[in-house]
Amino acid sequence: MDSGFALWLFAVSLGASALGGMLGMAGGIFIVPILAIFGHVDIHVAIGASIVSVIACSCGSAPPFLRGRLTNIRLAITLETATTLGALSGVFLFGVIPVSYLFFLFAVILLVSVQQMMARRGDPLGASAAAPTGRWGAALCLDSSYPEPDLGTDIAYRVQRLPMGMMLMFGAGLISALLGIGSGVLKIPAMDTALRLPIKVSSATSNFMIGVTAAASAGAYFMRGDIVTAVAGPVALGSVVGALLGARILIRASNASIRLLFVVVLVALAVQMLLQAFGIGFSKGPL
Amino acid sequence: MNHATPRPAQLEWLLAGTLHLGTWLASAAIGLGLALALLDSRFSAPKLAILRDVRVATVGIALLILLPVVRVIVMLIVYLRQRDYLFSVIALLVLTIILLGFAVGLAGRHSDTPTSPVQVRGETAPPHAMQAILRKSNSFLTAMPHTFHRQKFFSRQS
Repeated sequence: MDSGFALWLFAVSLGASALGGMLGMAGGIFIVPILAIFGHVDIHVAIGASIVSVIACSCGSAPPFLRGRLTNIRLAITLETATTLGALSGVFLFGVIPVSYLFFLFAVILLVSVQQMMARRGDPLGASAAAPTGRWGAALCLDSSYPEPDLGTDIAYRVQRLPMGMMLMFGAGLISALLGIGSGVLKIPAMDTALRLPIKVSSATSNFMIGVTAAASAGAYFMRGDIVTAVAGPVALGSVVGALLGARILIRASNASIRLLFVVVLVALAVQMLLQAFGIGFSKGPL
Repeated sequence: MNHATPRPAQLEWLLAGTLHLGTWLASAAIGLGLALALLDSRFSAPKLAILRDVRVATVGIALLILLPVVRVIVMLIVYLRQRDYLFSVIALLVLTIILLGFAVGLAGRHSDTPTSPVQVRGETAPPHAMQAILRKSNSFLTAMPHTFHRQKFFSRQS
């Protein structure tokens, strides 16, 4: 094993996950492009390694949310039927889609993330118990409450428009499997515009679901032999450490400066991925 | 599981504990495996070292992938104990889809060509195609056939 390359993978994943953790997302969206463009790792191997790190980030950061009663477990398992089905579809597409399409799709997802980063995200309108209850939300007893330390009381909320949420979640699962990312990019609109969840609940629940979604595709890639231990090992380890660090830094750094850093990094990576997609990348050589 | 029919709040603590423990266990295995592989590749014959030590890290990765599956199984057991059959069915459905993913991966594997253990995306890759897998580091490439071989060995066991 090349210790230098393993250390580089570890450091990159640590940085990516710390950066992602600061805004409460998995680092996969940074890890795949950096590995593919700067590490000269085959994009399929990069995606395989990243999907493992997504599981690590999700499982590692879930316990505090669960103990804080922010995660809606019933909603999570319900939506997971859609995300895992999406992931399964992604697994089928994974080997079929040409590499240049993967690069292009990734660039698009990066740019959508930039757009979401610019738009300020608040609690969606009607995210309260006063809203009319959704038919499915009531039937499955998904409505719940979460503790709000500022008010000292629990805040009740209702789950709305579940079918639309499920459809968006299917797409999120598909993108997650295809690109090796947590795909919070698609989960956030699903949670905000369809289900109308309070922001704390949607972050915690989305994070909780990502692990199970990624397990469906990671299991398939692992069995298929697409997950290379020598790459995925350092990446997973770096991600766990990075996610722990990121959660700490979140409290100190100001929100606006993190956002700016994010936007700059995302745009730079999107441009690189587009160049790769159209074959202009500088790393096209055999070695 | 020696928990007496956990109420919903207890389910959250149960899941938190499971995920916490599982993440540490898997990370420790990956860390140990990589540390051993790095040490041995420096001080002894690389071939032997990689064979033994990457396997530890591979087990760690397998543990990590299985952790969400365990999480769904824990939820299934708790819902069954609560006689919440609707959510038992939902949990079972999620579990089935995940296991279907494993099966799809297993079916996509070309394990009938033992001469060339390097496989990429379900296709048997000729030795020179190893360069396409990892184009940068030559010494790193030496680890590849064993890595794949061991993964194959492991997945056959499980």
